[in-house]
Amino acid sequence: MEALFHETISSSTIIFFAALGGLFSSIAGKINIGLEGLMLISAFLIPYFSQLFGSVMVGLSFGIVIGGILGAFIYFLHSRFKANIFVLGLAMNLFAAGITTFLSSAFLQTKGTVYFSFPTSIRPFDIPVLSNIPVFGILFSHQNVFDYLSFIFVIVIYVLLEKTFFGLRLKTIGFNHKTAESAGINVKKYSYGAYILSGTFCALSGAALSLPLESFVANMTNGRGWIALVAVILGKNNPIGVLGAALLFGFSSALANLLQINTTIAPKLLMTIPFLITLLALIAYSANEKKTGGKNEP
Amino acid sequence: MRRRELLAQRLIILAISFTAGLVVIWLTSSSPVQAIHSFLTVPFSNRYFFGNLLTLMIPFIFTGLAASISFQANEFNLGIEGQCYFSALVGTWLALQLGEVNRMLAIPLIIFVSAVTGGSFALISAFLKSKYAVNELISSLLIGYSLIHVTDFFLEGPMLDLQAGLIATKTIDNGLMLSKILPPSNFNSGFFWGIAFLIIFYFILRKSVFGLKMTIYGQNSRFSEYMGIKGSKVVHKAFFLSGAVAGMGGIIDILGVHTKMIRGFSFGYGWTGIAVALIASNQNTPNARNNPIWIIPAAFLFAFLESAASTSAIFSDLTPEISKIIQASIFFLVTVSFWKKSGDHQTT
Amino acid sequence: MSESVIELKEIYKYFQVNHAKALQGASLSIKKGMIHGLLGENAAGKSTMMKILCGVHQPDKGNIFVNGDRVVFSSPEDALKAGIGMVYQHFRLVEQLSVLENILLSTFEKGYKPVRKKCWLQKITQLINTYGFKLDPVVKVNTLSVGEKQLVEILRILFLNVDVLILDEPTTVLSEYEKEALFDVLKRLKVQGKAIVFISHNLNEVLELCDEITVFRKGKNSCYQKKGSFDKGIILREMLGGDYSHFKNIPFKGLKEKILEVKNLSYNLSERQLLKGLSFELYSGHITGIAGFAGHGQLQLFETIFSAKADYNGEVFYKGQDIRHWSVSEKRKQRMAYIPEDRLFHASALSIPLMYNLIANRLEGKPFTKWQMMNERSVEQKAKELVLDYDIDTDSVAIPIGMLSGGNIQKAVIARETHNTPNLLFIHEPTRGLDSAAIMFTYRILNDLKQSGSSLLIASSNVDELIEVCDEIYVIYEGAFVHHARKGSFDKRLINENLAGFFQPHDERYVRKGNKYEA
Repeated sequence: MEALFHETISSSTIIFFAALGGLFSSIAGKINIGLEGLMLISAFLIPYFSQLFGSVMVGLSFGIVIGGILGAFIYFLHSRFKANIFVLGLAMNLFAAGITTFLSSAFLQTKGTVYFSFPTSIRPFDIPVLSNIPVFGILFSHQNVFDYLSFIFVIVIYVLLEKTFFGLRLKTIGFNHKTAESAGINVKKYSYGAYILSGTFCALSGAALSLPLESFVANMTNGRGWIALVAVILGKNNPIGVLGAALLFGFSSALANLLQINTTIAPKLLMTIPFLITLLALIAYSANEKKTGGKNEP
Repeated sequence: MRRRELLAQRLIILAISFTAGLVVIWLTSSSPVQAIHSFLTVPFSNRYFFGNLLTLMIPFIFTGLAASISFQANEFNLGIEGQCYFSALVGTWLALQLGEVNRMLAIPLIIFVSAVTGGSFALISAFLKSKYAVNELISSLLIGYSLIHVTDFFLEGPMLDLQAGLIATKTIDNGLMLSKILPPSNFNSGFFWGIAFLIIFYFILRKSVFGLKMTIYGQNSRFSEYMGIKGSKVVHKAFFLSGAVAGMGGIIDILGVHTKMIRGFSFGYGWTGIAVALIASNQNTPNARNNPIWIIPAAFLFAFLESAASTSAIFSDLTPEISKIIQASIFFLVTVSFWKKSGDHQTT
Repeated sequence: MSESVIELKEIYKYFQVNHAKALQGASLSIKKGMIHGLLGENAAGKSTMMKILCGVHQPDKGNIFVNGDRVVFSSPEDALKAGIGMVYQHFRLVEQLSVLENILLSTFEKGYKPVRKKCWLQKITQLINTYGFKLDPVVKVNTLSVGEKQLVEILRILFLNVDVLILDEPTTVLSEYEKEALFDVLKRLKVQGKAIVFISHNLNEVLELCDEITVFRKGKNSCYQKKGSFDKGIILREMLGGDYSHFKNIPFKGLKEKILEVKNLSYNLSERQLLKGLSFELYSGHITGIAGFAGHGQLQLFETIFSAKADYNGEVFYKGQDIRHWSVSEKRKQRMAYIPEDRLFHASALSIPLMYNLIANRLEGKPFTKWQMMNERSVEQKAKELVLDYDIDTDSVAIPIGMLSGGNIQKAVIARETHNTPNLLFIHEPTRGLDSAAIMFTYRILNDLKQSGSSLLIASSNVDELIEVCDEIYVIYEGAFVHHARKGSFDKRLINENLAGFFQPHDERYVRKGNKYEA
């Protein structure tokens, strides 16, 4: 049971970070569907740079910066050249698949699993004192740094979105583009900001995926970016809601893993569980929205 | 965008993308000139290579058409990859059962069954959209991913040919294979099946009531409702057709080339199909009133990219992924509008 | 003190997207402490001119001078910083946020700063009191009346210390009482030295309120007058450049048949009652009008009867049959037609050829379809016929309808819906956005239909038009019919009052004192 809990948290963290990336773009009204691609690129680049520079911090920093640049690039093509934002997201996914394999074979001469090594290992650890609290202690024990970071980010992002001008303006842009413009809000600046944040959080997500494993496999993300997207939808643009959805999906991932270890059900079939659960959740959500009328009539 | 502008835009993005590719080649190859030369010329150098280029076009025509159909109705069928893969499995299974049945009967039947399989799974997404308002882009993708895993399960398990060296099914009877057109390459009559379906779809789109309804719905769903067009019916039919064509693409590749279902054979077909459909579109938006004929040159383009990449891997030190990078670049640019359209308009 | 604060000199603007020569060398001079009325028909260029001043559009040629210095505004932000702000015709408010939050949108605080609601609340309440508005800053905007929302808009730009306020057609959605309140506010602002530009096509209001008037016509200056020497006749002539069209209301002489009967129609959407127990009857050869401001239920009424929605309460009978479960195509087969308010985006598919748009309501069956295939020749033939009959200006029927001008698109929509003499035609705001020639054209069509026995249901906010055109009028307010009158006993003032909601003698918000209403 404890293993299930920890596994859930670590799976959720990965999805949650990517979902946060999607959240900003969603609030700003132009959802980024390239989460999968951004995650994948970062999942390769971050351990690669960590190895290259011999430091996880440097690798992480590079990865986050590149993630931000890629996010900005997507929005740039949309804003300046009116490219279709959905297609751009798909393009990013395609690009990621190609470039990661390319780089991996060009610089590391392998196309299969790539193993990295760098000084600091990302291992689960306990937070002293807090991990000894009865009941809640489990939250603070045996998680890795990314998991703990996600706890912090929930609060930070919540405050950012609900209590500052940044959040207010971002929401306005999403609610009513024209209003935002005529109110003097620099829509471009904020939208770029949303997409840069999108890229950086996806980078964190990618890091959370590959750094602990110290390796990279082609197509490592395996649809998590899309699941994160659904988490954004289910969370109704609210960071707490998104966290809840991410936990649900993390749980389904963990469950699939658990069943794989403990039962004889074929692993490939088990791998469909996260997708099917995500689909069911989406159906339930959409059906409910439809019944309660959802948004107002046009 | 006018025709002229559209053509210019396409040429520009091709130029940019190829340049980007050339730059990458220059940077990563130890003998760039030779690499570029082999990239550009080897696919045309003899019958074998050129034939294989044409062969690669075949599935791209199908998946491109599949994507195009869904785009016309302003929908994104992102499950093409999964529909193609799973339907190919079903078709292969049927082919293995039919063994020595007369090919005139068997081949169309196999293709038909694959089509229905693909169409049915796509239809699920359409149905979820009309009944529960589920976003079809995501649902088709999730189902697609699931289908891929399920197919792999069968390939690695019940349908695995233990004597083969790779993860694949048993070989299909030779009599059921599509005839080769340009030996020694793999170019086969599947190409004509593809062209045939393109023509059929052209007629459906431009000449039939359904085609008009689909185009109107894809352009303006509210307007189509006021005109008495049932949007849900349009979406159901469009998705079914889309999935059916995707399903055909996979099995035809098997019957024409691979002789057995190999794991991962169709990897990337779906996404390339989407790229084909986008670049073949009549405007820089997916749901423009398209002419399917453009799918042929678009499929050729991507087939060229793939073949060039894989052949140049043999003749130079390039990796095949270079084609993916050029592809992605095209993808990024294909919906771009270079001409600054005045965003404002006069409102009374 | 009336020095020129703002000068716009010889502005040219051409919109590529719909081939519109919006402005052709127009000029304007705005002074402090004065209310400047900008008059003109639709598409005369008034809005465009002001949008250029506010930084929304950029002029192709011409210059803007602020206090003698040449300026360039590349965004609304620039204009706001220079002290110029606009209250748009369609409110730019975020409904889901509060008054306070909406006003805060315009501040220039850094993003990461927390929104200290209490502190801002004080400042804004102060501002509200200074100008004498009656607003509660904490409530959400979607609970306010239209007039109050407009005040929020004005407050928003005042908060940014604008010196120039531009109001774009502010009174089209206001009641008489709210209009008076607005005029009071504007006069007070004028006294405080603000410059105000009042865009309108309502001559009487402009004459009442403004100190000087400029008339635009077809993108150019047409005339200029100062208070004291206003000449209504000249202005009217300059605005319209021709005779005003009138509708000749001839009674129908055919057999009177009951076409539509609606009994107690109610419709709810997630706890909001959009239609409240409406009952009425429509007869052949009869024009019925529904007067009401936008958003009071007209759209829902049309949609409920015409679309394939079956989840309403009450009953709707068409020629005696219950149509609850009829699909749209069945309704169209029975010769129901609908011309929605938004002709461009709800009544046509812009990139599809004109000829298909013209018959899009009759796709199935003869004569345009045979064995599931379109009979292109007959479609083309019919389209050419319609183009001729309805005077649609185009060289070819095969070009996308979006390439036609707005007026011609309207004609095409009307052609499609009316050419086979529908039994029942719903039409929403029939002459909005049309110039006088097009208005005449539309009226002629409506008249022809009436004489042929069609039953027409017109929804409009233009009371004058309805009084001229209709045989009977219902007034709709917040989803309910609050007034009904037949031709011969139309009381314009009563209708206007009901439009604005003064139908209850004991409405607790307003008390009638003689001729005026006081809060």
